[in-house]
Amino acid sequence: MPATTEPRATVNALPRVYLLLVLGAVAVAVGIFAIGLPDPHLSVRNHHIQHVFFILGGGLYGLALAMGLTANKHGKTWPGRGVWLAPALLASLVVMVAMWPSTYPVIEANPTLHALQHGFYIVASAVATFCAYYFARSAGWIMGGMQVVMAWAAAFGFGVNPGPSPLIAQVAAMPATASAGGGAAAYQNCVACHMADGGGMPGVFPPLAGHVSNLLAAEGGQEYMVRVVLYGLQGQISAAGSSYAGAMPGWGHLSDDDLAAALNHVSSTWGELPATASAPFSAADVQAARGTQLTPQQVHELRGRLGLP
Amino acid sequence: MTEQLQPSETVATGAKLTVEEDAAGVAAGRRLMNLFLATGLALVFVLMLVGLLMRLSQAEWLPLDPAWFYSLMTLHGAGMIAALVLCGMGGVWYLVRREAHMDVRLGYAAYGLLLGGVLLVLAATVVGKFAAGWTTLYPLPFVNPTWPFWSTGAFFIGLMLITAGFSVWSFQVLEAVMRAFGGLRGALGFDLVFNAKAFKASGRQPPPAQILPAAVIAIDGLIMATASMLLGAAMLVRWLDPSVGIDPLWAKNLGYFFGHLLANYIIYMLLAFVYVGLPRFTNRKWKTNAPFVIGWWGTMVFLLTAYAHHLYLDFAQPVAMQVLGHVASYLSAIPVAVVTVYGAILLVWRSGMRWTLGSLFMYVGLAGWILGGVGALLDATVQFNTLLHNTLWVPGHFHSYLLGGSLYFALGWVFQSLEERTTATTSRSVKWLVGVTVFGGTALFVAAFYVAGAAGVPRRFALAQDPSASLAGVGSVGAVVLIAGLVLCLVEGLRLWRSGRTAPVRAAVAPLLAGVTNVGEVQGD
Repeated sequence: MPATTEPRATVNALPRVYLLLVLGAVAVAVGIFAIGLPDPHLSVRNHHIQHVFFILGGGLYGLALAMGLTANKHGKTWPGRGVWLAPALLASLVVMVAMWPSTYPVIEANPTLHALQHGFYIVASAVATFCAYYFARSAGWIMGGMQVVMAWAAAFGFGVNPGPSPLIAQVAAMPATASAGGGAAAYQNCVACHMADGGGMPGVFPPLAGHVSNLLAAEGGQEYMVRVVLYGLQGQISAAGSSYAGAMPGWGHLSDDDLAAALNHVSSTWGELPATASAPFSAADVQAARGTQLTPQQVHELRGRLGLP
Repeated sequence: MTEQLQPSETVATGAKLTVEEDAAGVAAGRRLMNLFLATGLALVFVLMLVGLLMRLSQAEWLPLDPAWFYSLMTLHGAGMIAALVLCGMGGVWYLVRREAHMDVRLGYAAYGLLLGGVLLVLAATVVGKFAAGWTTLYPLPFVNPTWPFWSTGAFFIGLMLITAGFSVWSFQVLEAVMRAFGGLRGALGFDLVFNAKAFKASGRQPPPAQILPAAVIAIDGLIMATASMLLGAAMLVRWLDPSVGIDPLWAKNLGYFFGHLLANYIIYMLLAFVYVGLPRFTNRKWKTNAPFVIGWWGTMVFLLTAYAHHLYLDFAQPVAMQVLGHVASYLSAIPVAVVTVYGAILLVWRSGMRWTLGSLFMYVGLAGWILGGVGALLDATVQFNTLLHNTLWVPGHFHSYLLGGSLYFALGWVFQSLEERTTATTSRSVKWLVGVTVFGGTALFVAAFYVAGAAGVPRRFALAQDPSASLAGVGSVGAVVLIAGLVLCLVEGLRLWRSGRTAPVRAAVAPLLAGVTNVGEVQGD
């Protein structure tokens, strides 16, 4: 058997119980009046943050109740009453599911239902912490903490549409190009690796800027480019003075028009074509290249045979 | 005869239990552990066959429809994690139960929740062909799925049940170790580090080595469950109500936080078997000292942030998170690995160790554990990750420490338990055969992953390409050899078990058996 601690000294738990009740009331009040939250009814995020306060308040109530009931049972635990953990976990889970973001307009249109929903958070949270404390003392605090963290974390992603990322903003801001006809849109399939500015990722994904012009100028370069987008490419290559040994997947599942548009977009943006040049790629070119299936390795061999850079 | 425990023991058990009652409780705990282990190992074996199908398909030796491939991959991933978690949970539950009273019914509840979750995952993938991978990146499960509506829900409910089972286990283990060892402070050995002199002067003993992984995993397990339950609830709501939006980056962070932690809990949890099991072969005790304790603190804290190394290519992620992922990967693994390997070497060095199948699995398992850890650290290093990210290096490293480490720890524990119950021994030739087939097969199997990964070929799971197609063939051969070796282990295990049931128990420990059902329990450690 292990070394153990001294038995706990008996202490008066009532001051702590009162303190928890007061703190719980404050938390619920903050939730009700949404102190510091600008117009919580307009934002799912702020609405969730409001829930955090209700759950915090309910949790403190549950702890206070459990602490009050067990105040004179120091030194004892309830190892045979593990069943209390079931409602504790269930209450935590139900609270999360009950935060059904798309129901907010419906619920907000009905103030009574809305008040009941928020009241449910308080009660369920109190049940969870009460049960956990009753089961295993400190576990009550842990359970309460878990619920508050869950509600807080929910505010930043649950029911929240993704915020504008720099990458998406970059793509959205791309200028219209000579290719028009959806070239920029088709190029979005390539952005994750070759980047919106065509710069690629040094050492990982080759750039198009400073490289596509060489491909277009080489004999057989256009035919090669069509096959790269159709069938992919795998093997050691050199682009803009750097070496790359990766693999690009084929995009044959896209339509001939889309692939031709993407190639024209790339050519007109980074291919150093004269502004008056017509689009060098057509859907017919892509369709013709579909006649002979290649593997990414065979595309790499084709690159070598053509002596492309 | 009813003998009362000493007062200090009464505090530890939390109730006035008699020695006989406590022995009966420990025996019940052992039965629970056996159930966890038997279920987990059986699942591992079946899912190994599923993994073999996938490798054969990648080697182009077995035609497998891509839709089936991804379903099987989802089943293999989720199922293997759950199976090994079952092994670890059962083992740690029993080892903690030997130190403090725990309600066995709650242990069965955790088992039932996990098993229910596994069955739902099985139904979702095999019957429903759910194929979004076990990490289920949002919004993949909801975008033009090739599987029926119900299977998405079944999969997420299954994962939620697995999390709920793990939460029950975590709460119970944490409560027990805190009760037995003087709160978190005692269970985590704070006084051993911060009040070393006073601690020694008081004559108090630090917690046994196996309590550190139990406490650390229980604490981190509850934090993981918090994220997992939230993500699960969000996914379930999204499943029922397509108008609910979820931020994909938020979901990816939560998903990898959950997935990374659950997989890592396996590799740390099962170390408890080594801390208890290996000393039995050397007659030396695994000591809990300050460096050992500090190593586990590092794991406890930094394991929580290391997951960020899975999101290196998510450019929208703040740079600070990427740096944290890099640094935390090192700090979560290196300290505990150093103290564990150093401890294991000291334990075995000139100890006259008995090399049985039990000790072999544990010691070789440490090698696999370290090898997989080094592979993981390389992948977590930003400079290497630019080359290795999403290549076959990834399954290479996690198969190293899950198959070549954690599974070996579990098998070592099982064989040790069998060996202690019988006077029969494993012949030298069988040990050699197991060594060649199991260890050799594992080495070949994971080496094929590593080489293909180092060649820098990004994974396209269903359609592996040269060099990985030919290497997949090499890996398949390794897997077949490994499976053959495990069948041999099963036969040898059954032989030892039958021998233990009929032969007299070792004379040296027989007198200690009064009132207790198992030799391992009496040895006490």
